Amino acid sequence: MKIFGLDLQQYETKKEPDFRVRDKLETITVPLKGGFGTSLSPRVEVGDEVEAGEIIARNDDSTSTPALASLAGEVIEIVKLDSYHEETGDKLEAKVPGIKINVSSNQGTNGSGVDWEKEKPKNLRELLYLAGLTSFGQTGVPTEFNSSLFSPTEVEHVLINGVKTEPFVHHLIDYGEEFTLFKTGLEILARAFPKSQIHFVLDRNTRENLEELSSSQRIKIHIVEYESYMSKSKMLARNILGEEKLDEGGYLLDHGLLVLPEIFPLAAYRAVVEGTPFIRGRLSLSGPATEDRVVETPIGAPIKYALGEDIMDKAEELTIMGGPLSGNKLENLDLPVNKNMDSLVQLPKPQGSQVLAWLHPGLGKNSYTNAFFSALAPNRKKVADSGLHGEERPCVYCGWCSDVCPVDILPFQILKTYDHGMVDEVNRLQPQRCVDCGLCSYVCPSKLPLSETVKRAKQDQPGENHNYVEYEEDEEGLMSVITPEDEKGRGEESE
Amino acid sequence: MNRLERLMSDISSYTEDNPYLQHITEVIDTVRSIVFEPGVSADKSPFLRDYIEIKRYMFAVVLAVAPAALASIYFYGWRALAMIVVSYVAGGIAEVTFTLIRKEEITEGFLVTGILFPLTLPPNTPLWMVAVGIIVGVILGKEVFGGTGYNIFNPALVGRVFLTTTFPVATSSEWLIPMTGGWAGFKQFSVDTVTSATPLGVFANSGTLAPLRDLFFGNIPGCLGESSALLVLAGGIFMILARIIDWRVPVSYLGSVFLYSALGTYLWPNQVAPPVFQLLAGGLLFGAIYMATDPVSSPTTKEAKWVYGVFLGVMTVSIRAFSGYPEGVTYSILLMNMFAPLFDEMVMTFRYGPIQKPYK
Repeated sequence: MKIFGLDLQQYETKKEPDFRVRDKLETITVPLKGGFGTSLSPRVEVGDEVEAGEIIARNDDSTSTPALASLAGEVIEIVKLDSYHEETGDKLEAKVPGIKINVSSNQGTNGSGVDWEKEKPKNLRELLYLAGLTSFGQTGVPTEFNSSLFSPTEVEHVLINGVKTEPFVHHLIDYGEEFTLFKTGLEILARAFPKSQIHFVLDRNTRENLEELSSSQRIKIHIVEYESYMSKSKMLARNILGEEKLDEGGYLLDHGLLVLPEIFPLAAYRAVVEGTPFIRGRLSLSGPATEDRVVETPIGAPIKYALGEDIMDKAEELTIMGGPLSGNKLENLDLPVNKNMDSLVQLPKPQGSQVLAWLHPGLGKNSYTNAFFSALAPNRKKVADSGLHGEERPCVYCGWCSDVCPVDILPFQILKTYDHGMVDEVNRLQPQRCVDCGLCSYVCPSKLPLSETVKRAKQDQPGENHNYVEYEEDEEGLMSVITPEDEKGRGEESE
Repeated sequence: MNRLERLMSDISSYTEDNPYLQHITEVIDTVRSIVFEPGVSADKSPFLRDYIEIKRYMFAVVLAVAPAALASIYFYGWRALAMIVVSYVAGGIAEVTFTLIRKEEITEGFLVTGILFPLTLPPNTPLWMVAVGIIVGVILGKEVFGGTGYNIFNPALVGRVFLTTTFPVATSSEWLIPMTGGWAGFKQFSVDTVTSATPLGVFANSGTLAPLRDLFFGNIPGCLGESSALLVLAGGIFMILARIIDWRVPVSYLGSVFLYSALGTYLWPNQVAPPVFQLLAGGLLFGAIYMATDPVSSPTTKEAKWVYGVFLGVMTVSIRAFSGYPEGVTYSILLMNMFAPLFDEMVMTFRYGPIQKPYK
């Protein structure tokens, strides 16, 4: 319990998630995503029979990772799937191709593994590529193939992000049952990137045998504070690389850091030791409105099916892809499961309006302030819903957004200057430091779109070619701002 | 309640369609949003939001000042309440008028200004003067800048200074002696015992110090809200614990008053009163807790809050000791309000460096 500070743990209802496998499917639609926004061209045609684990789409000329058929069957259609912006969650105009397969067998693959301890690093990386695992990370996992913008020798640190600190979000790995497999996966990674340090970051030390892991020279275990922003890879990267390097901007791999999700070591184990490519993804479902579960399902299964028959797309619930603080709204539960999905959170929508809500004692209302009686009842379960809990008002400069910010930026000031188009002022305030934790918007009493604006300001940052602002004085002696973006249309990349 | 809500939404949509009533839609909507919190979902991430909102934020200040307001009734009779009511009504009319002109929603900041303003006035201020003061405060102190959130000065203090300079006799020459014992002011409308000076005034004229015990519990003449240091402090502690105000401003303000007057009373014993007397007398506590902490008109960054508080303290003691005025809290806060953006800017320059020079 904290008297001062943000205590999002009070939302936690951490029920032990129920683990289930959902693989009885009639059709699947494999999205042809090659990692970081690239689409793949299909290598099969309608009517072809495919095997589970067979490569069905691959682009060798552009940086990408192949897509695999997750179950055996007949290709019946090549469809176009909706795509969404990775950061903002906006629906994009571009569509992603998908291959619809009529499933003939729900059997997995019969691949055979290799003895990883004797294999060359190069061959291990090749196996990861062929297993469809290299599309993870901000810029892909470097291999001898064209799977990343970087080469394997540039990897100095590999960071496995096992931090799940946003409210309700579950771990995808059962660190009890699957610990040995996971540990072997980490060792495989250490062998695949022989010059790198492997970091495994967890939010709390739940297992004693983690010490066993840290006994290895190559694998370092980090336990971080239980704060919601700690699950952000960029936040962890700050701690490993140091703040100065992060503030320079660029990709994390520019500084030698490869960040991978928690599922990666397990998937690497299966690909290398068992010979099973990454055709089954894991997805956790949680939130106050549902029964918590972790589901393993073939990639390409509709999300709705993967979660189970009892989970319906209810109108009174909001489904969020990712954590409730930084995720995006998921409007279509018929979309197929893809490799990068890891958690879904369902929050109830607020039911009707509340009479004189600002006078209620608010025993179940969590707040950064102590202006609610909930501050006196820290053990009481807090109500979580997707409500805004108030109307948008002008900023009153309370400063809470900058107080909670884990990277010391001033979101209110960025909002003010961004809205007035003061580009050079915005740039000075270093919006690129933002780790997208969403806490500024969470605490704002005026309900201002702080985190959204900082995100946009970050995307408008001048790149290498210095789009500095130009001033011109007009006849009346007023300064008017001319930016290169103004001439081309704001937000467009300059070439 | 559902029926009431439906009725209000019907009225709102009716006025919206009616060309003659269109302009009052915002007022109806404001009333509706005060009574019913709409169950709207967050549209963009984060989808989980804090339950705090501006209405509750402002109401917490009102709650914190309530004991001091009650005490003012106890000390000076029900006329004190009449002053608060007049302030709310007259200021409310000014606020709504501006809302109608600007076609924007009413903002909740007025909840606070409306009660803080009368508490800064002498207890015998004529009621019409209260109305004039709050109207000037709301309009010149806030609305001309664009409403809550855009004002440079604390609106309550703008109204207060307007009255002090326009009606100097009525607002600073006569003070009432508070009643104590039994039900005191709760049994009557107003107090008639008149004195000529507050403890600060007495010290400026004769160098006599009022007993600290009276200053602390409230048995001294002065403005409505500042009588009892104890209750003002209690409100401050409540707001700091509730996080409605930041502790840095009152701590640095009071701290610098303490240090500066300790030094001053050693160097110029006839002009600078001793530190504890300085802290408890006059409007210092009330100003440090309710006025200097106004988030809009004070600096926002932590470092700037320290600087702001120190400057406030130095200025307050200086005005009290070396100027013609016995009290300097109002003037120092208004003067430092002007510097608040500058202090923030200095902190930003220190933290992030100067703004990039335009590229040539």
